[in-house]
Amino acid sequence: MKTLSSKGLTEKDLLVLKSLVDLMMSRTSDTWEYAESDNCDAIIIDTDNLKNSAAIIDEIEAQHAVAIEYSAGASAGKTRFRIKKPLRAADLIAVFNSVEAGLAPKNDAKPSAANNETPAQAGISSSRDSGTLDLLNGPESRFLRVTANNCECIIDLANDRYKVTGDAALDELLRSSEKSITLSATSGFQESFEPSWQDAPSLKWKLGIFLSEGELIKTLHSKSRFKLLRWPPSDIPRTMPTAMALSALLSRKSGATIEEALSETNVSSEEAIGFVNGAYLSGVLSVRAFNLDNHGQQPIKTEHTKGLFDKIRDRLKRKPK
Amino acid sequence: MSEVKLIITGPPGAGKTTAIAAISETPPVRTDTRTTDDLSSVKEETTVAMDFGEITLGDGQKVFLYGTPGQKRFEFMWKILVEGGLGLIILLDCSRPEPLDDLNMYLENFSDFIEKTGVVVGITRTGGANPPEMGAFYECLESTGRTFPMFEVDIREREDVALLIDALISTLEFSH
Repeated sequence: MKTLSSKGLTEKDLLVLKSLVDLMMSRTSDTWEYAESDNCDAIIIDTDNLKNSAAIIDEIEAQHAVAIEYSAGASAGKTRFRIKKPLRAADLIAVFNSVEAGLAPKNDAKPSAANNETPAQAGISSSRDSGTLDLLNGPESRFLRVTANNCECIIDLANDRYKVTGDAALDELLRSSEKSITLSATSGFQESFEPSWQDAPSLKWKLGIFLSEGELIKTLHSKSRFKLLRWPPSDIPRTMPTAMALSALLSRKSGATIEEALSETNVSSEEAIGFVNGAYLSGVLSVRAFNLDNHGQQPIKTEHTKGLFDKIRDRLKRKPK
Repeated sequence: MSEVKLIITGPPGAGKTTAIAAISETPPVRTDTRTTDDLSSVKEETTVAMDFGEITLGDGQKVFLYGTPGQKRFEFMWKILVEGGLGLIILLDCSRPEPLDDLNMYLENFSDFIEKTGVVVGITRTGGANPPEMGAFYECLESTGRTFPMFEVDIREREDVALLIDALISTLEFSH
């Protein structure tokens, strides 16, 4: 059971929030309850309505609770979790699931506030003490610097945007086997960057897909049942064609396990794990801790339809004559 | 070989005819007539019965693409066209005043067909002043209890139409 409170919400928003919390119990990994108390697991702060919101957030975080920014405009960048106005069930579910992960027992390898830069060299996935995505999933991480082949990219995790110097594209840098990655809680190094920020709604998907190295984020369990709440943006299936099959499979009412994904599609374990990590980082994955024996509807997949679908896919790849 | 039929629907001007023209290997058969109602300020002609296009699979089997008329007064045609269909593509025009209402209307009118098959939503013309966010469209889809695919697309591009069809058949194959 997790508790939620709020500060600065209008009467209408508060009413909507309480109703949504009641309604969406089955859609989050844990059960959430609204409480009129400052001693809660998470507190939603309407930063548009509170002049001293920064001080309030500091106070909340000092008490080891999770502050969730609620605002109409761009993020003030003070918190890791944010909900954009107006309140919507899907946004709330996504944030709750991310917050639940953040409330899980802390990983000792995560960067401390005092030492807020943590190198995470590519290719260290064999040591799961400091996997890049585990660090990235920590509440302290705000900025990610990726360097490879004389190119440098700064990624602003809170605002889904990045800037690049050099000729390489973001995908190319993330795929590079020569890359070096640094995480930071501060944006100190961004001042030397001339290029302007580029918005990238699929940024966290790409971080999951390209940086997972075959390892699930530590807060996820390989036997869990995953349910996709939203499909990825269109550039993801274009980058990773198997994303279509994975999206469809994980969109079932009952969701699916990674084992089911591997047995029912032709995707590799690395692709499935990267996809799940990307969905989780993007806040569009609902996680059920236990695999259900009876997981509901199965796809209608006969040899006939399977062959038909493959033929249609094959035809779509070809240009018209 | 059995007939394979995909249905494309959406409000007038959303790009149903354009989508079929973009992907069909033969010039689409159209049943357009000059607009005489409120639509005349938006487009000169509109579909009154259906649009039709086709693609041929490797073994010669045909996939037929049917575009419905957009206006609700032709809804009797919708029920005829979906008969035996494999799945539904809904195109939404974000330059229209209430695209979320449009989506709800099509979800409601095609609910039986969607329940039996699947749907993919293509969002078009998002460059306007205040298009709804994708999250708002997804909330409409939540009423179906399933997470159906939804993509921003330029329906004039063959690749974007192919993306919608690929997502639809993936849903039918893995998610039904």
